Amino acid sequence: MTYELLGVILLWTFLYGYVIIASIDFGAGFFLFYGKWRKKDHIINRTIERYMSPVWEITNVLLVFFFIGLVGFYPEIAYYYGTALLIPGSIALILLAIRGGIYAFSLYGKKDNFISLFLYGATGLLIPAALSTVLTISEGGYIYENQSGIVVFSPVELITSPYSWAVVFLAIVSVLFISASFLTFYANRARDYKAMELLRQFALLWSAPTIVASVLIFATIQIHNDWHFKNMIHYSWMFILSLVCFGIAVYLINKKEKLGLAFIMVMLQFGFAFYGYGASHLPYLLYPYIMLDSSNVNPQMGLALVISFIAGLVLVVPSLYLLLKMFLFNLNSVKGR
Amino acid sequence: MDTFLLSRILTGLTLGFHIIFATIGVGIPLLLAIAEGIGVWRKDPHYILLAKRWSRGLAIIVSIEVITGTIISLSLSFLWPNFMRVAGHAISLPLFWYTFAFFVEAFFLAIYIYSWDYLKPTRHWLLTLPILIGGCLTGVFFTIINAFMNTPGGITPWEVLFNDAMPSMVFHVLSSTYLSSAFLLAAITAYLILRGKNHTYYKKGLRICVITGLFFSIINGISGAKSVQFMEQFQPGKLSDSSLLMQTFYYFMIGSGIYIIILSGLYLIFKNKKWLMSLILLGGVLAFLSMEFGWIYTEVGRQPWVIQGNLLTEAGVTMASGVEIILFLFVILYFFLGSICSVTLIRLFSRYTPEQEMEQLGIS
Repeated sequence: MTYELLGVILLWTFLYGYVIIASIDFGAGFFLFYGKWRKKDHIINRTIERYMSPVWEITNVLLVFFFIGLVGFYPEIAYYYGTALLIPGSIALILLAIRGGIYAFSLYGKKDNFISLFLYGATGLLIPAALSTVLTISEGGYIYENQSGIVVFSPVELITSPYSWAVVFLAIVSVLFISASFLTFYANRARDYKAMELLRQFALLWSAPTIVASVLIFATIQIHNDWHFKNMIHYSWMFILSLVCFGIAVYLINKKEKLGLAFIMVMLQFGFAFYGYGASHLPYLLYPYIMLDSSNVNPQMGLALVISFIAGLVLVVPSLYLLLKMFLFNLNSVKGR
Repeated sequence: MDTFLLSRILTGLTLGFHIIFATIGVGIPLLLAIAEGIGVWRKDPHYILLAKRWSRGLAIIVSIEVITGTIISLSLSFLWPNFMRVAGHAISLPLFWYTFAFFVEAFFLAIYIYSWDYLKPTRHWLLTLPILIGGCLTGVFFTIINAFMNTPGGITPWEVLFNDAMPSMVFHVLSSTYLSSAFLLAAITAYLILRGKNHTYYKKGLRICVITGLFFSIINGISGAKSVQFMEQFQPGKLSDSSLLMQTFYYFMIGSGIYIIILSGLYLIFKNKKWLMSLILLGGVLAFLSMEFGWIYTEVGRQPWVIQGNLLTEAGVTMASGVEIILFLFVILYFFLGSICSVTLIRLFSRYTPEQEMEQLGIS
């Protein structure tokens, strides 16, 4: 296996970790606001508030790991995306920063201020929508080089593309589904059955739209990038496995049984789809400009980066487990000390 | 205004804003380790309380540092895509490790704050070590990137990490970081004493900070001299730059360094005299200003290069339009973050004073 392939697989794993953990957080932000808005905060907010914990900081680190690692192997990515995404990328950064600011604000302060909950909820939906467009752009057709070699981004192309909207739709409903299914499990674990029931309904409510959105993705990508569509069909077994895991998850959530397993199934559902999408995307990283083997990183640096990525994963995964255990599953605190 | 100038302003603003938090994030862990260490060793609850209260403030600073750090590492690609295209292979290794080290610091800080009541004192004190080391390494890797831009060599990992400017620059940045953080806390404590607080708690806090500050101001003098020596050898242009701005920054750093050494010496003689408190307050301000000026000095001193001798800053900038909008938004953002941070810190410390906390804990 080449350093490039190994590197990309590791980086994709960082991104997968980010997608799952950040989704829980983003969705939790939305549910917190929803709870406040519909005056159901006494039922669910105490459970969800635990989530505004240091897990947030780890989440961000995963995103930065992914991005920096990618640029280390493929500086061209920084060049193409950086040039193209000056404005949308900066706006995504600002949204992340607002969310982080509110987190810092509520670290020791009151957590139920309406405006900060609104911002927390709104950024929870806007950030995934903004970040998902990066994946959309990787399909090609939105960035091109003009005659003088300057990279140009076509926002009109992006806004009018059905594929792009399908991705945004998928991103938002996935966030809500992943988050609700985790929080259902969590509320159940905390024996907060009222919250569990409400969150379970959310999870079921957002389950079907994730499948609708996935089907839309397949339909629209065929129009947008037929090459990628054919490659996805080649990996169809992964998407079928994803669907099976989804089925099991929804069955379990509906039956209120083994909610922990149900969440693992949700993770697998997105895992298979995520890696299936990633695998079918290769060898292109940015269609048609950047390919897997277009990294001209020198072998020593490649090795150093790959070792760093592995060390990063080895460090982050157990730490995350420990933090979740300490902050979320410490039963004294789960019951709301 | 053109994209180039606006991009420079925005990057300067982002870095200038970030290093305030980065400095505190690197420096305070040392003071935590010292305060809690003394507290555990002498079984003195005042020192433990100092560490406890400082660590809460640090948590807020670190949570802002996550944001500004994320902004820097991503916005370099937005504003300077050509720079990243050229330097990406080289600088992403230290940038990755910077994130790594930051993660270690933030992670152990979270555990540290959470586990006061759960761990035995010595064990809890041991947690300050990974926080300290993690914080220190963020400073090291961040500085390595800058040193690489000043004296680029090869692009193998070894050559990037151990570039020529790295030893003297890391030495100087770390010593001034610890110095500035110690004097930040000293200045805040001195201010509170000026306002009439006279519990021994404050005096003990001030003592740790000023003595730490004295130690690092001496080290900082040595490392500063080393940096000058290095520049004479490798970047003579920077020293002979006779522009008024550069000269001012250069002498400002030297002046405030000397001021702090003398001030700390005076503290050892006159202890908690009122007039000294105002001078310490000024010392904190000077320390932070010098740190900002030091970074401006090294960045501006390298111009017109972004990577010395390899890439002109102008050639690194984005070709996209719209930087003025982004600059405008980020100015508002930094104002927002700065206010949130100040309000949170002030609220945190003033709503629950050390006196109240001591009373609750039953400490006299």
